[in-house]
Amino acid sequence: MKEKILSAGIDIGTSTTQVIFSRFTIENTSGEYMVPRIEITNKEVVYESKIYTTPLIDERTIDEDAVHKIIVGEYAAAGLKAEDIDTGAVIITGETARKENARTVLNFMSGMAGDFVVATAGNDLEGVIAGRGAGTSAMSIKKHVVTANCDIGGGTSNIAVFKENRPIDTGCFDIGGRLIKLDPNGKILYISDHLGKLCAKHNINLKVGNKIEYKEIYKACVLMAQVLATTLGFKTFDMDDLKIMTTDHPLHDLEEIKYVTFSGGVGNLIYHPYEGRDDFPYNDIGVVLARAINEVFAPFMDRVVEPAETIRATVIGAGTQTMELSGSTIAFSQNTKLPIKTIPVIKLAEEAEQFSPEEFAKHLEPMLEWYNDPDEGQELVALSLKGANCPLFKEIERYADLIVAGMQPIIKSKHPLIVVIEEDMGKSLGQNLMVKLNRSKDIICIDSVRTNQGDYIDIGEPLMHGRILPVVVKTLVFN
Amino acid sequence: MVSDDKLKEIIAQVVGEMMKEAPAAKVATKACCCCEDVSDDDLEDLTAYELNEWYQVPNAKDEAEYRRLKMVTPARLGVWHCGPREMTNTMLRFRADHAAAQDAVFNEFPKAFLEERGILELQSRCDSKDTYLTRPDLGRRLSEESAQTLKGFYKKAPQVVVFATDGLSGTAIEANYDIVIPAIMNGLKAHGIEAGEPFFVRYGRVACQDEVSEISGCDVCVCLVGERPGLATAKSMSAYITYKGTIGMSEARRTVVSNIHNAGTPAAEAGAHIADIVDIMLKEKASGTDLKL
Repeated sequence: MKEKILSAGIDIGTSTTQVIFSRFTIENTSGEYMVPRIEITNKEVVYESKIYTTPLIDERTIDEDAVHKIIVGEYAAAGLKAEDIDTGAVIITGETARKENARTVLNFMSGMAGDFVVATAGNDLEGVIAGRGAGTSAMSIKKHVVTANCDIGGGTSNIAVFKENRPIDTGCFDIGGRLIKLDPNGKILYISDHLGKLCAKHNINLKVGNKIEYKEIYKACVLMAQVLATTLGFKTFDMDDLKIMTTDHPLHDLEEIKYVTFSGGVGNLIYHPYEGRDDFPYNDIGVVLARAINEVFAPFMDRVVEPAETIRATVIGAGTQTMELSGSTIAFSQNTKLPIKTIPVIKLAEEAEQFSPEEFAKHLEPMLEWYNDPDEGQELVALSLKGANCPLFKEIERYADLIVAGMQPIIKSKHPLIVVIEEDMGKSLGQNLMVKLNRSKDIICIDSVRTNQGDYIDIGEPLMHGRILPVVVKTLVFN
Repeated sequence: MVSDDKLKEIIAQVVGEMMKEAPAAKVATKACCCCEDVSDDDLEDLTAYELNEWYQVPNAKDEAEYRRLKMVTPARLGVWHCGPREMTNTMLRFRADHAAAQDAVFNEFPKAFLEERGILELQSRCDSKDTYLTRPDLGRRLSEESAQTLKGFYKKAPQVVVFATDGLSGTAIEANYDIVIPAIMNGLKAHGIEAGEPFFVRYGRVACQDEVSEISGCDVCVCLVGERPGLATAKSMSAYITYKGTIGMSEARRTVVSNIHNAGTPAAEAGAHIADIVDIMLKEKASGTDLKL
């Protein structure tokens, strides 16, 4: 039994907008006579749009109509309708995500990408999506080393660090090709605040209205490249500069990074330097920034690797790497309305899973309280657990007792009881919960999905005759 | 032609050279000859390791990678060698695993296991392990006494009957019974399905479930049976599930869930899955190849 689903990836970045469509093949890879093991066996990009310049009305506003036109045009060119799309992600990256109309854009977009989309996700998740799309995450498990991808777009550099195909750290900097914009005569139209501060500190003479000087801008770009080399742990330069250019937080220096890849528009220019004579072919500083990065990273060239995807990393990641499948033996009530999007995840430390039900509930209470609105009542949350490997039945009952005791506010509410457990025990645990709650509560109990406190998850409509649920884990906070 | 004398000379020379080259082997032989007064407690338990952790390649170029490779297979990779042969401990472990497989087949299923849990014991038409192994036809039917007992066991025909039989590995039933049975029963309850009390059939083969179906009058019959053990595990169990089974029916009407053991499908998840299959069977009124799952 095979099922094919179509996924859309749409990336609206600071400088470019792209669309891809990909087809996933989902199959039961286990024998007919065994418990099913359903996996994504193939992902194939079936259509790639050209790379558009993101249409803006002014510095702060995306031109909604123009973006809409681009997307509609690409669907038509691919021969697809909105209802053909089963899953996918729309990502508004970089500075644009902060722009006021991002929400409006996402609203009309969610109808275009099926009923199951990731909205604007925040810098950390964007970094992870780019790193997955670039192939850097896959490289970490193939070579069994710690890898990092640095996605350098127009407004930001999103870094994600991977180990054994899992993100372990992220960081984001206001470093990108469009921190300065020029008019066709080389006059500076715009400088970002962060870069302005950096220039002021180092007496670099760049001002809006002035004509750009190559020597000055190259100096500024070298400083930015040094910030990247510092956070990646290759060589420590100026820590104050790092602070100035940090968006939310730098990397946490957890493990030594063996290989770094660069993606995004600037990333592409690092491996394939612009060959024209002009220094500012795109009326920005992307080409110069790429040159500066090459210079600063020259002593570490054996650790700089070209990824499988550069300029398309984010859109490929959005279209092919955001959705995962739940385990193949899970339990959920048939009448639960799906999809459910952006469910906050709560999780206690693993030791808490050995507590008594009363103690477990006591520890969980303040976390549930956090999502208890005085007017709206208890909001929907999902409980995340580690679970037990090859559990005895007693162990499953014990887990069910913990959940029933701890999740009372949810059980009493109108929301379904959602449990996400890492070990393969979702079906038996789910059935246990159904019996314990007299089959009167809607339950979703999925396994083989790893989530952490502070994550959000989307749960999509069932696939493969209702055996499995597609899931998007949105990790917004690391550590 | 080489003369006999010449041949003898060549052999003597070759053997002489081999002896010179293998002093290590000689030492090892010597070390093995003086261990009569060692107690069992001082000996390493070679069966205590998972085969995935059984690794003894010295100075491997990439041990971490080799160990990762071993994690995906129970095959005896990286067990090293002594000359062209396996190490003594590898050979002993192999024989220990083989002995466990033999035990699983030949040992009597312990009565105490059934008595402790208050499980009803029935028997096939086989009167001993030997008959069981040599007469498959007798293993497919219940003894007359057992048939009588089963007739009076349920007050009314249950919708579903779940029972276990030792088959070719009583060890598998011992290892999984306490997990899989409550998981199935709980799963059926979650679907609102009534099931009869489980029991055990000694010396049973899969098809004895057909007589169980006929006598009990159940719609769906789940037979849990120990699988023929291999060298990787002796604890693997299967579930054969039929809708309205009858004696002599086609084997194609059985739905099977196999490889229920810790390195395969965990027993609890398998039990929950079996309960779902039973639910589908009752709705679709079919089993085996007639049922699309």
